[in-house]
Amino acid sequence: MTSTPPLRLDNVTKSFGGLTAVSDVTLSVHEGERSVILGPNGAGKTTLFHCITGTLPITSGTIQIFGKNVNRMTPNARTRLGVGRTFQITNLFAELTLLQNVVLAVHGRARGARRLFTSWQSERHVVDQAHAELDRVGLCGKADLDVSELSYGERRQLELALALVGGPRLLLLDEPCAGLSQSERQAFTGLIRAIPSNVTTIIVEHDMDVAFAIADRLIVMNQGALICDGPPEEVRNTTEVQEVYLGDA
Amino acid sequence: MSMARALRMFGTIALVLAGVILLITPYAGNPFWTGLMAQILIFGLLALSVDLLMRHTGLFPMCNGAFFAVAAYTVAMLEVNYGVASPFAALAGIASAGVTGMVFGVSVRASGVYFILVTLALGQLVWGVSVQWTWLTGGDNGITNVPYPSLGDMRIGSLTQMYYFVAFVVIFFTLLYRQVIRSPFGLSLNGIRDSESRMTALGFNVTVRKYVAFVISSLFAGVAGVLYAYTVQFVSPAASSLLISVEAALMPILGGPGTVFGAFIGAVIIIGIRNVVSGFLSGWPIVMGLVFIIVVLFAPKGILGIFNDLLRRSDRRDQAADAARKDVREAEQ
Repeated sequence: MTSTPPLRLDNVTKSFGGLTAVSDVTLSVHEGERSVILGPNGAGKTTLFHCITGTLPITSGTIQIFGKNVNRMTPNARTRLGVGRTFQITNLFAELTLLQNVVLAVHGRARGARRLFTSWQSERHVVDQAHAELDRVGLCGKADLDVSELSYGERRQLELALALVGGPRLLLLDEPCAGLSQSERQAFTGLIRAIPSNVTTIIVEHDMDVAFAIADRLIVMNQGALICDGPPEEVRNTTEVQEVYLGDA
Repeated sequence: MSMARALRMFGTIALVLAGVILLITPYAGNPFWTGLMAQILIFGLLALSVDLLMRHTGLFPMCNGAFFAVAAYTVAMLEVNYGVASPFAALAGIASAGVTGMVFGVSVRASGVYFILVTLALGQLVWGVSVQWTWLTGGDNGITNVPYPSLGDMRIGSLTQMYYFVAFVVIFFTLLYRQVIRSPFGLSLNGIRDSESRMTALGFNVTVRKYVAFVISSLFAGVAGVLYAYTVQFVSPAASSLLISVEAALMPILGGPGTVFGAFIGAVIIIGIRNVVSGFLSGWPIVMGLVFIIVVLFAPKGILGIFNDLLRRSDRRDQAADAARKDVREAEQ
């Protein structure tokens, strides 16, 4: 028996008025696969990403997550299916401490934070888990700092920590290395590679070096459509891909 | 003595002084001051109910005065027209504010400026009812002769007793409020304030949480409204006017948004200006406006914010000095 794919798209199309940003995309990812969606600016990769997370409704087609049709599911309902995501532009709780940020993530996963009459610090198991998650991305010892005191690279790390809390089965990363320096990129791709191999990961990226460093599978988009899909080496040698993307890089 | 220690001492003295004033006001011999202090406490609690949404959830409500008025009118009507026993009248008052909150809560579907406008419109609805439905609310005459609350044979018989009752209830609900803010639920409200999209991505139902916060806010406003009806013993459309909602929002802004004491400091300033300055200056709203402009421009974190910033800065300076001294000592060795 083959297991249900963590993510399956059938003829997904998203148009904004007359503009078709994502056009008839059919795609299925396998469990544990680390796919990178690559493409030049305006290729529709971020739009596709939003359709998968549910921030944008799709125009036609179906999206299945772990075999469930999620076309009508809200983003938070999709999260509860086991989907974790990061944001392209760092999206953190700016006025809270790192620990509070991660505590909220733990609660969100567990459908918690319903109590009114205990203090959040007194829930030891939640706080301990939050500390462990901070350790995992190398932010231990900074738990009590405010987010505003972090460097940009550290904010990206925290962004990843929030997505990893509670062990998502499908992880969606939206340009995780955007805005990082060369050395920070290397450290960050290390963190991404360290994500447990049972987590299916889909990464939207336009930086080729990052893409080739982390991908098991490269999916190349151009003008809303998939133009190539396969192992990185194979994709690199495809002439069509070289023309639209790699050629001018 | 370091700056930080001096500031801490000042803070402690101010707190002790506030506690002493709270305790002895009725013995100052002037019922005016007792009534004024009671109002400061009541409006401080109303200000907290606004701050729960404004500072902690990121919503700016313009209808908490309406919850306050609904509760006050309910108590006054039940006590004066129907002679309902005080505990039931008080509970009915709080419940009616809560029910109003549950209905008005649909406004959390709107965000930003639209939320402000929707709550403004809903709040004005209550004001309209209090002015126009004379048969129910007494119109501009309001409802007079609300008795002090009683429980069986025990009856609050004087303003002094009423004052202590108000102080007790306000302190109790302030502690409860503080607990709610520090709870996991309270933390999730802060998360909503900072980033709704992130909260959604983490699996939270943001709309439901905002709705619950809105209803909790209306309950706290209702408690303040019940205390108001019993203390002032008179409820008129003044209780439901927009001014109440606006002032209740200004109090935490002036005192220090997000802090429990800030709401009460703001209440002291606004109630003080309204009642004391107006005694010798007919242009007192100008004073209020000036104070507001100065605080917002020069102390966006409110009066308590100035204090906290000073404290933090001098703490850091002390730490830096300690570290430097340690370096010198180590270098000498």
